[in-house]
Amino acid sequence: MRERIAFQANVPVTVALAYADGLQVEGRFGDQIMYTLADERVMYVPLLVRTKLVELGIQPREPFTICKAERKEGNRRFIEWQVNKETSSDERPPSETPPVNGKTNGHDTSKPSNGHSAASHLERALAASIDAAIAAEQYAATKGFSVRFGSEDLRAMALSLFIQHAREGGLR
Amino acid sequence: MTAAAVDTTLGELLSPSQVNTFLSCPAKWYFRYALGLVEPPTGTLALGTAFHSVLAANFRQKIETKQDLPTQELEESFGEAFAIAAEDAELREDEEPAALIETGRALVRRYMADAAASIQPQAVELPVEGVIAGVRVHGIVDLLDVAGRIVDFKTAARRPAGITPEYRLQLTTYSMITPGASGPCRLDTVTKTRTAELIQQNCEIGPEERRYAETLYPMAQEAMRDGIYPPRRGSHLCSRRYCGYWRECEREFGGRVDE
Repeated sequence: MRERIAFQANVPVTVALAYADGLQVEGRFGDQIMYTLADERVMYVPLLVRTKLVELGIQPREPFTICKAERKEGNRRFIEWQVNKETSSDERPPSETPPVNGKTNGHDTSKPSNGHSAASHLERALAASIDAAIAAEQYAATKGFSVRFGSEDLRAMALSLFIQHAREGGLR
Repeated sequence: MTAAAVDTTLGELLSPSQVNTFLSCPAKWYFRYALGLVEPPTGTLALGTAFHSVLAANFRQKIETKQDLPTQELEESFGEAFAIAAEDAELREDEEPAALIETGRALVRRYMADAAASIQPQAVELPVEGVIAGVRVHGIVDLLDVAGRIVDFKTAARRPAGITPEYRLQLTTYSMITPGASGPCRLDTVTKTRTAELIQQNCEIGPEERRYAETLYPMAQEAMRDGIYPPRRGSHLCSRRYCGYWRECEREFGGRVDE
């Protein structure tokens, strides 16, 4: 029998699907989707998770993080399923990718630093702020807090990073 | 990129035990059914599971053979059934495996001597599912006899005074969603007293019992989805001894759960 992922509250799990879609089955507590994972395990999740996977365009063998999070609003408690599409190494900013033999992701790193455009720095700042927001949300969930960052928050964080980078001479 | 959604399907498929848990303590329901925290079984629970398993093995083969298995054979199989049931159990300080097995064997002996011969099953451990007042409900019927009577097996520390509201809801539910159930139900309780005793309690499920179930299931489902789960610290079942979630409960809500 395949190992089944037991989702613990507020603990993110990184998985990858073996196939694009799962199978709708009846579980002990209602209808669920059973997904076969790339590592041969299976996971059972509510139907709403399938909707989120489709929204994010998760492909087979593409790693993503899924978290059954406890959300509190005053005295009310809710179960929220969070799906995070992992930033692949190809999409990461070059500075986050460890260089191997002078190369990063197969690209030559001999390009001078001032060759980066302001747009690419801004892209990296935005990506970094999204990563930081996701990490902060997950950490908050483990502490029982419900923290959600919106696009305005992400914009503000990215601009701060961008300006700081510019002050340090990164755009010269 | 993140996508998140609140699970609005809590309580989509209910069982009598789930509703009874919610009514006895919403916080306990939340820990078990919403968060999915596992409560390790106690030795007593493992004993009950093994007792059910042994009786099911006897009655399952009796559907065809019309004969009970030898009591000695069933008593011996109790030890194996207990070992399986107790695999993940956390025995309390006063629970001794050998004593639990001896007690279990005595319960099996009592049931086989006093009740088994008069039962001819048509189905054993029958999974059932239906809709009560718009709510999907499921469960497992211990035994449905050839007359359409539902029989539920219980073990208890002492002689029951009557059929509790919790068991009555269970029997009502099963009576309403079991195909072939004719109405009468029976609760067979074997007591873990010094001398094991069998108490058989009959009940007929009438319109009032059905109305109660039809009221309760949608009400419980709505409350489960409302997000408020107060701990019932005043309940006689609220104790460190009887609730495996007492640590989470204290951490979440403060205060103290009694010993």
